[in-house]
Amino acid sequence: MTSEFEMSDLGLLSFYLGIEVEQKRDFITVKQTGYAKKVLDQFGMSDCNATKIPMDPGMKLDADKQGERVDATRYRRIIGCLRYLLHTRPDMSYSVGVASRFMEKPTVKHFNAVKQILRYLKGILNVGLVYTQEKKPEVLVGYTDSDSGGDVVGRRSTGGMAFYLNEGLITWNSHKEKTVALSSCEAEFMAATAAAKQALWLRNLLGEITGTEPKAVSLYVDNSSAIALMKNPVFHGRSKHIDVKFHFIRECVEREQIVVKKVHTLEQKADVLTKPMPAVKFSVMKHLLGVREFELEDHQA
Amino acid sequence: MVDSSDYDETPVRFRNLNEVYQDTVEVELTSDSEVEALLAVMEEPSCYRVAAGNGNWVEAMESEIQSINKNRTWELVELPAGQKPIGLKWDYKLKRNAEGEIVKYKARLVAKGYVQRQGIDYEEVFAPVARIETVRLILALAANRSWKVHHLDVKTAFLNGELIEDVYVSQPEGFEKKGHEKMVLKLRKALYGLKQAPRAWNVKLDGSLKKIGFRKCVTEPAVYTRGEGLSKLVLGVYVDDLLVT
Repeated sequence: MTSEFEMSDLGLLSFYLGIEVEQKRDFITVKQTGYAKKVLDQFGMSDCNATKIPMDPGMKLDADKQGERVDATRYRRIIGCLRYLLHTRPDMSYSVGVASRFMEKPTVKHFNAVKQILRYLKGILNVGLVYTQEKKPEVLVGYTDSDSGGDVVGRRSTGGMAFYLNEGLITWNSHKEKTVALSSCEAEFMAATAAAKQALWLRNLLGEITGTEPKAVSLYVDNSSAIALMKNPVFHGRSKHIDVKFHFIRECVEREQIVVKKVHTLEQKADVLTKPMPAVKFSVMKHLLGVREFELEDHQA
Repeated sequence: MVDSSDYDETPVRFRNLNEVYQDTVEVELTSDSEVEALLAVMEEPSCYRVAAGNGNWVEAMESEIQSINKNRTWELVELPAGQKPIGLKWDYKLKRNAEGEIVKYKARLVAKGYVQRQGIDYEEVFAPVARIETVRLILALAANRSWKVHHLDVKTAFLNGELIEDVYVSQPEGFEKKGHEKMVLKLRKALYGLKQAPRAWNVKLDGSLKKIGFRKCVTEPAVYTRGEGLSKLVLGVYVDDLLVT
């Protein structure tokens, strides 16, 4: 192919779309430390005081209609940069997701929330994901979780999902659900349906890349009644209002593409994608999610 | 009078060029050294008129024209009736090293693609790129199987794309053919700036990859695979950056 186009071999992959990749004998790391520093510089936050958490646990951001407006363009620019950082920083996924909901008319209150995310970023720069060699066949595992009506504007729930190839976190997401859930069970059910779509795609893609028959994806949910609803298509008064489209996951379970399993809340890896947490719990849960802090190379020099 | 159908599409200009010129203080340049000093401050000239005075930029432009000619990108033709040529523009970039010293003067010829209209000048523009999830999946897979991931880059990628549509462009400023100034260039291959350039490049890349035995994934059109077992190759495409493992 080199004969057809003028190409240059840049050697081992080390820098791709602003993401720093390091390849070692039995693991690969990805991080965006350089980009994070640039973002802090750009918005004049290089010398700010760091915080331990990107968003305070009691924080309920609303539309803040009476609040003093801030420059929306600047607000959106910061959010844009932060969203790009999320490629290797799932720990900020929830807080940036919440801040993004107010891009239309940001106020001082929202801007302060964004500033806290930047301050959190400043405190913990050298962070990313690790993919290790585990010498066993690849399996896909997913976790899904949801809060219940956490968004005070529309009372909608925030769902989160995280997918792993063996132990390595490959995709995650934190999203506000499209409709209001009447119970936590329903919210989890909706989050799991969203995760099921992602699971099917990942499963097929992995099958295609490796050239093997796709195996069933295990999906961990921490809500027993939601699991019961997925496994056994019962129909009764308390679940009859759930939109038909959310029953998609039942079909996936029936076809054995997805296996739903129960996980304790404390081991729910997607938990940190659905709610703000106090510092200690946050640091435990983000480690559980798969975010790793690297040693600073500068110290050795 | 303004044609009402044109009204929405024409970009609004608040001041015309003459008005801008009127407000600008004219600088008297008495010696060559002053011109050079001025150029040094501006560094990346914004238009051909400025760049033409600097040998480095002229050289850069000649090299760009050469690589276009080598690609047999265009041919000189008479403009068919009813066609409008798309304007070209020179874009100048300085490449610096980590110490901030100038390493390279780079001139790129771009087409003013913003005048193109869908359905007339181009049809399809979508070109798949690898999703970031896919990139991470490939990395995780590579780590688990201790594959090494290589990074390839295609030079002037878009110039390789072949055009399906007829596209006419005017001759590049400073490189008009003597005696044929009225003629236009018919493009065989894409130029940077054209709406359909990314797609044309992707179609071309797709063809070449298939020719050498790669298979495109159904679930992710930016991923290709080849071979089985130990000689297995997986390739991710992000425009002109290729990941191979």
